[in-house]
Parts: sequence; structure tokens; C-alpha cells
Amino acid sequence: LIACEFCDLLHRPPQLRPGQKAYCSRCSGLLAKASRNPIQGTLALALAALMLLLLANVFPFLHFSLEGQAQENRIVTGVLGLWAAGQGGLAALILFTTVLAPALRTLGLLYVLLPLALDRVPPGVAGALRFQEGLVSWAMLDVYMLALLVALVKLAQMAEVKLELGAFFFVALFVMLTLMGAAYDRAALWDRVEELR
Amino acid sequence: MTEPRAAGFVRCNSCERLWSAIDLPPGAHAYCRRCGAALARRKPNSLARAWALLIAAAICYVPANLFPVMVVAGPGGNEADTILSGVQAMFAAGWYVIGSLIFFASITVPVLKLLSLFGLLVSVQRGSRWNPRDRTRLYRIVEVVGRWSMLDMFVVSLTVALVQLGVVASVEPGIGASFFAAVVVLTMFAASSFDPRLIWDAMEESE
Repeated sequence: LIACEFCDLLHRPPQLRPGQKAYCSRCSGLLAKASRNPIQGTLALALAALMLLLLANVFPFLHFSLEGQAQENRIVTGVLGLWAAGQGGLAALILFTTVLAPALRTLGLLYVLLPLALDRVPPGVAGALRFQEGLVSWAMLDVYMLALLVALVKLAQMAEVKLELGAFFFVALFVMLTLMGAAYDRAALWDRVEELR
Repeated sequence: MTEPRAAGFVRCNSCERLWSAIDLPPGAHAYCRRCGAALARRKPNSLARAWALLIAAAICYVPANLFPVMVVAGPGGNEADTILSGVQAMFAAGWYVIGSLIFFASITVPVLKLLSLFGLLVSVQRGSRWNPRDRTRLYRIVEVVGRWSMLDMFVVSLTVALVQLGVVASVEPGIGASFFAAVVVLTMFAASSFDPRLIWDAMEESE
């Protein structure tokens, strides 16, 4: 038996084909899903996301110029600017939500998925899974992408603004993290862990 | 197929495993044998925690709107924008799409989130039986949409970078920004402390 996360109604585990989802008959919350390839598939996406995380943070994504002066922008540029302006708390929150949370979530998942793909259970699976799940709602790269669009229009009034290579990596990273989140299937991972133990 | 909920089960909040409930002496804890997490039928102190965080968020919401989120010192003197005046300025400049986006993220979402959580907490505490399905749905929306309020903070962080360019003398984030960020964080914690299953407990008690 399984219980609904939102209303605690008991259900018999639904027989799902890959890619299907089941919703609670009483409160219509997501009850279960069957990821197409919960281990290798999610692993591949997490590896791709890890590489893009590096690229998106190393390459500048915005280029400002005005009267011969120019400036390149990365996420850290804004964080350091806030820090310099004495807004340490806000700087830390932005660093956490746009860099650390997505990176740590990806690393946490890799720590679990890599051994599972090799039929091994890593020490501290439960902790690692809890850790990365706690970060899900704090990883806000999707919101940051929208902010980037807003800034692009807003700042174009004050200076010449151009998108750079980093912006491309950002979009790719956003897509990869979204797919990774969709492929993540907690129940399937726990089933695999129990099989291997 | 579904069966009526049996009180005899505990769902592990961490790994979803269902265990049959056992009687524990007061003060003792049971742990999930699969993942080691402490087992609880409902999130511990759900209502007290959610209330405390929600009240703190509501208090921060006042200075978040009264104080400027961004102070731009330009050739024409200082220009301080609160969240609301920032949105007004965008509409005045004819940027309707972006103005609406910021209005939605910075005003609609936080207000609805504070009101929704308040409504959910009051209804649960009064043992309301009104429309539990929609109340649960409202809770899920609050959980998903809440993070979008960070939009304006990210825009501030991107704008601050303009200073180094010398376009304007200084772009300083105002204290309003810190309070606003606190509202977002506190309501996110409040939403995650709230246990939607409490909505349904009232339904079953009166059956």
C-alpha cells in the first residue's frame, strides 16, 4: 500500500507504464510516477547539468557597454556588487539560490546515482537523497532566467546590453535541470536500493 | 483503487515507505527502517511552526513595501524605488509586459501567499470541513508559485552591476530588498511546515 503525501488516503500501488503518472483520487495530488529510465536517464542528465553548471558560471552572460567602457557579467558579479554595498544577507541568498543549491542538488544526486548505476549502494544514501530533495525548492535558476530577460529590457535604457555565450549555457542548464527534476523518481531509487541491499 | 484510510499506518515523510503504526511510550521515537528518518504521523508542531513563520513574514512585509528596494544616484539626484513605485514607473514608461511580470511576482504572489497560508491555518484550526480538495490544491499552488517572488531581487542583483560601469554614480540595494527577501524565505519555510493532511483529519474525525 502507499499513502497520498497530501491527504494520507491509502491506495494500492498503481501499475504504471513508463512515463505515466498517478494522481490521488481524493485530493488530486501527485501520487506516483514511473520515470522512463530512473537511474541511467537521470544520471545522464545530472552529468550534463554538472558540466553546464561550470560553463554557465565561468562564461559571462551579459555585456554592458557605454561610451567606450565595457563590463562583463556573471552571476557572481551581482553577488559581489551586493556584498560591496553592504547587503551581505541578500548576496548570500542570491548566491545560494542561483549557484549553490542547483550545484549541491546535482552533486547529491550524482553521489547516489553513480553507484546505483554500477549496482552498488553508496554509504549514507538516505542522507544524500534527503539532502538533495531539501534543495529542490531553493534552486531558482528558472526565476533567474526570467530576471535576466527583465534586466535585458530594463537596462537597455541605460547602456548597451548584449547577451553573450554564457547566456546560451544558462538556457541549456535550465533545460537540463528541468529534465533532471522531471526524471527524478524517488520511489524507483528506493526500490533499487532495497533490491541491492 | 482506493480504500478508506486506516489509522493504523504511518508514512515515512522522507522515503514514502508505509509502516504499520505501533504504540510508543511518551517521549519515545520510531525511526524508518529503510531510510532512518524519524517517523511522525503528521509534520511535528506543524501549526505552531507555520503560524510563527507566517506572522514573522507578515511583519517583514510592511517594511518590505515601505522602504526602497533600490536607490539609484544619477546625475538628476537620488531616485529611490519601492516595489510599488518601481512597478508604477514601468507602466508609466509603457513597459506593460515587464511591469505586469514584476507586479505578479512581487505583489500578487506574496500577498496571495500570505493570505492563503493564513486562510489555511485558520480553517484547519477551526476544524473546517469546507472544500478540502480545493484547499489542498491551494496549498500545492502556494508551494510551487512562492519562489517566483524572488524575481525582483534577482533583477536588483543584475542592476547593481551597472555601478562599476559608471553609468550612474551608484546603485544601492535598499533595506526594503532585505525585508522582501526575508518575506520570501519565511513564507517558503511556513509553507513547508504546514501539513496538508491536517485539512483531511477534520473530515475523518466527524465521519
